[in-house]
Amino acid sequence: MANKNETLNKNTEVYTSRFGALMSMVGMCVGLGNVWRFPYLCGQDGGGAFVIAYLVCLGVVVIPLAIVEAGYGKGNRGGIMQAYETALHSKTAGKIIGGISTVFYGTMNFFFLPVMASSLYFIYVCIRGLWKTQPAGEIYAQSITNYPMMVTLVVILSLITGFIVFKGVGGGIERMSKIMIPLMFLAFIIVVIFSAFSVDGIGKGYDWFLNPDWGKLGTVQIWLDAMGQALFSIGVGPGCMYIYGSHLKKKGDVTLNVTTVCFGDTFAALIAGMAIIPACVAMGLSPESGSGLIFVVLPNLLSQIPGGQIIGILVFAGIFFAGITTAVAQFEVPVATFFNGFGLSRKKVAVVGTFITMAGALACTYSTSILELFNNLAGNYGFIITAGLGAIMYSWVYGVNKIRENHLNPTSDLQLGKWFTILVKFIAVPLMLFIMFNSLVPVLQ
Amino acid sequence: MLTGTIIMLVFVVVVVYGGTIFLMGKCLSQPPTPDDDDDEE
Repeated sequence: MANKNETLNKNTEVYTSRFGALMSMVGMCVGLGNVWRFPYLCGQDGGGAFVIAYLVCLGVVVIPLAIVEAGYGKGNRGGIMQAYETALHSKTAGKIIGGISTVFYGTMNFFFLPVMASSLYFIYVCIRGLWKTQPAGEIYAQSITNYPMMVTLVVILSLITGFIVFKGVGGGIERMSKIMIPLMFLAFIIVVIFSAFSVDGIGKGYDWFLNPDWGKLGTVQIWLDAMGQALFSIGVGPGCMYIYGSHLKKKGDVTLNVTTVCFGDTFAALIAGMAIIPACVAMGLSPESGSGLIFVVLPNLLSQIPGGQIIGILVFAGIFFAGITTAVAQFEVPVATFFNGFGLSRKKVAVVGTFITMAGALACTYSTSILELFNNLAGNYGFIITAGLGAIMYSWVYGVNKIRENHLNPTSDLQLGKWFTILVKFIAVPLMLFIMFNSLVPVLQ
Repeated sequence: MLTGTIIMLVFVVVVVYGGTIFLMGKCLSQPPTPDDDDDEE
């Protein structure tokens, strides 16, 4: 059944082990959103009720879309250009649409690496216990304007990210993920256990975080928040799942792998939430969403609890591991797309891409307006448009049935029936498009 | 701690954490496939 493009796109590297494949895909999904947005939404939107809404959205919309995208990647191979070429039956259209989508996605690291630099700096802040002499807000404000230090950290992070992608799937991405993802989970688990025994009134914090307000399940807001968070967290649409799926072996079970990865992503969000939010609430600090939680509220908390320095090192190391695996995924998408699309060498594309990313990230470090520009252009408009286009292309243009029959069911214990096609085409994709464009409204306003 | 919180904690541990570990175990325990299976088509 494979068409001409499908048989041509065979030379993609594959993961060398199942554990490595799982950890690489979990690393791609788990990012700062798991740490600084999910726990906040959870507390704000009815605690346990939000967890239930999130799991429903994950099961009905996000896991099916992710399975389709990764299945198409495994079957079609290559990069995003090949994905569009095969679906649209046009090399030119594929190269143009796939190329533009990929460039947008690749620029996500421009504004992501400076944030990562701050998290790296805060490991140093914890080691030195700097919050004892200076308020955390001041430390953060000074750090982002300390250009020599931020430039050095951004350069180091660009080189680390570039080097991992340069080393390829088995020797780079997989090897890194097999170490960093278990360490990230371990760091957060230690913090959860430690704070349960060392923070007074931690139960009050858990009540804020998880006590279900079932009445909220009847509101539209909780479902919009849950769906938006699930879609952005797993990152379906723009091509990450496609690229990481394309590295699976031909006989790999996509359905089972992707379901496991989505559960792993939720595991990370909940364990990070348990590590940070209940302690914040118990100490009377207000949990926020975004960088304020990580770089201001969290150090304030750490300064007040026994063993705060060690806990801080573990938490910021966990955040760093979560972030660096995402940065690698955001760099792997353009590298895999361009070296596959134009028949180039991975190493050459990775080197050139590293310097472009470094230049973009340094520009964002120096100028808040450039950072805001890329945040809006790539993080908001770019992500939403390319994710929407991707979902339409995989599901409606190429076809869920083809993916299900050719690339999913033949190598999976879990057989997906025709109900799956109906679910994806008529429920998951329309809901995703609605949520994506709905999230654009505040940005446009 | 409120009863609802305890129920949700148990739910999270059993469904999300237990589910992840169960699925991961299932993935890792599948019968091996040949390393060179990408050449088949």
